Amino acid sequence: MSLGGAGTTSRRRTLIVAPALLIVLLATGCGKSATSGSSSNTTVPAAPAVGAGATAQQSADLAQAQQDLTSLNGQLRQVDSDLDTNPNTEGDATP
Amino acid sequence: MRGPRWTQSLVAGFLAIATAVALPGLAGAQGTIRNQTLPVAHTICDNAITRRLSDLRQVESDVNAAVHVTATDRSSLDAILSATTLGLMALETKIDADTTLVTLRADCASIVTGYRVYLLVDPQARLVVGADRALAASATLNSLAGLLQTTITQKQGAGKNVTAATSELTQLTGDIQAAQSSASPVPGQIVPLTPDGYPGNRPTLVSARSELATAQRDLTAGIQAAQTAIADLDAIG
Repeated sequence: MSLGGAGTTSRRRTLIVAPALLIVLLATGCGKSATSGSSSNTTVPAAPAVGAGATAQQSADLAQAQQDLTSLNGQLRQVDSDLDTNPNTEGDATP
Repeated sequence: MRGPRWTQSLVAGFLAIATAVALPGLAGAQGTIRNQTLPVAHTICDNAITRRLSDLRQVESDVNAAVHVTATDRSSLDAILSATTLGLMALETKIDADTTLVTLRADCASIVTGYRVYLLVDPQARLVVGADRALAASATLNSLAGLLQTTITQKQGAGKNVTAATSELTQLTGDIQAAQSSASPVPGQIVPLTPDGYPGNRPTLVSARSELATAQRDLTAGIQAAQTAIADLDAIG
């Protein structure tokens, strides 16, 4: 019944080791990363195109509002990431 | 003979993968600590605290860097972050002194349940900072609306047709008010939340996040209205 000896053993090891490696990768990836950001449905609009008639102050206000929006979007992404954390372990501590 | 062994290997592999997927986070923590020696378990718990303290320092740095945060909100967040940090440091000291796995496991669990760094404290800080940022953007757009009103009045006095620009300005002021209405209540709703109220207080976090997303959309619309108003005023000369 032997169909290859060492070759068969090698393939069998591969079958056993490959899932084990995948488990390690999954377990590592499941940990909560404090700085990781999950996808967010919110999108920041492109930088405003200001017409030639805009005053310097108007342009400055538009740019500042745009910057505020970008920052707000960043905060919301962080919140999404935090709220997605596993409630039982928060990623690593044991209950 | 060969077929069944292959099948067994495959089944064992897939079962292991399924277990890892179904229990995220536990493979590297809970499953480990229950089978480890006390020193190893100490390390696992200490690492969990260290990671949270590092996160709290980062959040505190972000709050300090956010110049638009109101003094009241800054004080509230400082108090929350400080209390959480000191509590975790005290817990770390206790954990280091634990001599049984049973006690250690209970203390290690309180890293999560007693502080809720990722599920509560972080979102608290981010939502309050975000709300104040939305209000700051509203104030900036309000200033811009004033400038646009002045320009409209001047051009109207010069006999120009300012109908389109006036319409956009009305849109802008409506968006500003809507954004302020959404963002203003958030700090007052979020700051009082405490770890022992979790998960009951989670809907408040989720609702606040939704309110800020609404404010963001209103602010985006406001910026676009302001751009259009500026373009309209530019076009009429």
